Amino acid sequence: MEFDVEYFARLARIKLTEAEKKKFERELKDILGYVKELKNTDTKDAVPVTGGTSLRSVFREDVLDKKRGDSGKGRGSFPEEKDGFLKVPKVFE
Amino acid sequence: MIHLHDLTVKRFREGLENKEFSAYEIIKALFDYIDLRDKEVDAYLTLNRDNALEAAAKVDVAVAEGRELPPLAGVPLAIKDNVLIEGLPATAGSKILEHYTAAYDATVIKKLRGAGAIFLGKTNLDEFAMGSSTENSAFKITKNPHDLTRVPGGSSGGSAAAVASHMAVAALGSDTGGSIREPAAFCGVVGMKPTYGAVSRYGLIAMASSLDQIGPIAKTVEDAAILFKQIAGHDPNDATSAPDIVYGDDLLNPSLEKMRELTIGVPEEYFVPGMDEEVANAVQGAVKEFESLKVRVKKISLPHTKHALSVYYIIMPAEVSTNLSRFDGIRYGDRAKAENLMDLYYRDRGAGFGPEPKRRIILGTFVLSAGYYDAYYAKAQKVRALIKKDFDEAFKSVDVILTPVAPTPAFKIGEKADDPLQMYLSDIFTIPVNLAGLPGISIPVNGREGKLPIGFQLIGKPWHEADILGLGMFYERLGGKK
Repeated sequence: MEFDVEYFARLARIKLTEAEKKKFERELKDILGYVKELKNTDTKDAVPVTGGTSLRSVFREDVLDKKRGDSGKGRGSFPEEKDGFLKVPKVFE
Repeated sequence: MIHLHDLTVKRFREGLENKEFSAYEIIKALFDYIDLRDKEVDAYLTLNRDNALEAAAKVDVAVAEGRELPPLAGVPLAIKDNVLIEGLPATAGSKILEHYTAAYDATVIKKLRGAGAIFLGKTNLDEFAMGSSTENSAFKITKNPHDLTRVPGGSSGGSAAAVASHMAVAALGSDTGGSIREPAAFCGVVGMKPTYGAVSRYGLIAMASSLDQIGPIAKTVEDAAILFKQIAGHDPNDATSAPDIVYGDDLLNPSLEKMRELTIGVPEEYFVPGMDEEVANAVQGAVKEFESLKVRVKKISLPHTKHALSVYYIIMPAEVSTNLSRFDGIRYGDRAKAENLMDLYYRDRGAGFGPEPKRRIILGTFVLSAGYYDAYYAKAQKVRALIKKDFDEAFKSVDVILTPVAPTPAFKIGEKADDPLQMYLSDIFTIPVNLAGLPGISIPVNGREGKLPIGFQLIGKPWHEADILGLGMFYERLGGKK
């Protein structure tokens, strides 16, 4: 099958080099060639498994953890910040 | 003082209580040994030396004062670097998290800390736990302690190698398709993936959320049971952790009589033509040893096994592509000079992720995209149900299933590095267990001293870790382990 690696890399927000494009295109074609065997499996009566457990939706009270109320530690890894806020590049031109 | 080779979780406790050694002595000796041995094994990414020695000194004060000790007092553990320990780096083996410091403890860490354990450091892994050899780490390649030219397995290769080379008494790993069991088999140690939902995933850097579980890597089955008992349990912070499962003391004290009431099933689909003969023979040898224990063994069939790898390589990348979208260069990572926000995403993710995460993210994006979703993702979810049903059927007539862990012993470094599909095939015997959410343990085949280790796998019914741990303990006693 045709596999437009550049298109899906763009959807995934990953910049690829020319060498990577070639390599991944070949490898992903191999992998997709392998997994296409599923096509012929009879799954008429199969109920899809959509998660790891059969648990229903789980709710809990949203309790404020006073110790964690301070965002200080999470901020420690920000690549750029100003006055304690996370800085991002312009969203709108 | 006791030799580090002879140190187990259980033995550590006895020695501490009988004042044969102090926690400080042992942990100091471990770091001295790590300084020497890890130069060639490369198991650790970060050492937690000062904190660990300080914690050990406190344990020794508690011993001297005759205070009651928590169950894992002073036990020195290695932790895979995708599990968060507050204040320590958590790189997940990726450049994109190279400068990230964990802001909180994972639930398993909180539990182990509460039980008195001490963390020696963080261990190497395939980037974001994606791989079967630890060659995909962005930082270094861990070597197999039994043969430094071979891989330790992966993705928890650092943890398995650290335990196998006695640079830790035991460790934690994570397992999405075999990442605890395969490296345990390659390194000749014990590794268990618990039932999905038995152990909280809170604070584990997620790879594929419907498959990931944290579990123990240890020198003995008994040690694995001790650690599992401490980390299992419901956690409100992980909605998939089971609310009403309680593991009893039979995890630690199995009775041989009860084990003899169990039937082991051996599935024909797991002994495939072309598989390594030595592995097949070694695993059949383990079957015979169980028979010598008077445990019943019968042949079974799991007919959809052949589809497991395909299902896995659709569902796992789909979940990877969504989970790893949080690594966007905004809150973590080195920020590239970018024209605008979109450009920032492209550049940061392009530069921060290595080849394997990129490959899986792109594949996952594809199988979830409009026009392909039904043919790939939805189809795989249905075949996953068939694989699960195979196990449900089998468990009507047997209690435990015995299989190989990997088709070969540890392979050479570089041997499969350029062929992703060949690498993926290393996990064909472990993947079905994750797809079905079952507990599985990898145990070294007895009597392979001086040879490359080979592991066999025991798969249990959901929440029946006691069965596989119990059988495992009696098996390893046949091999002379206490």
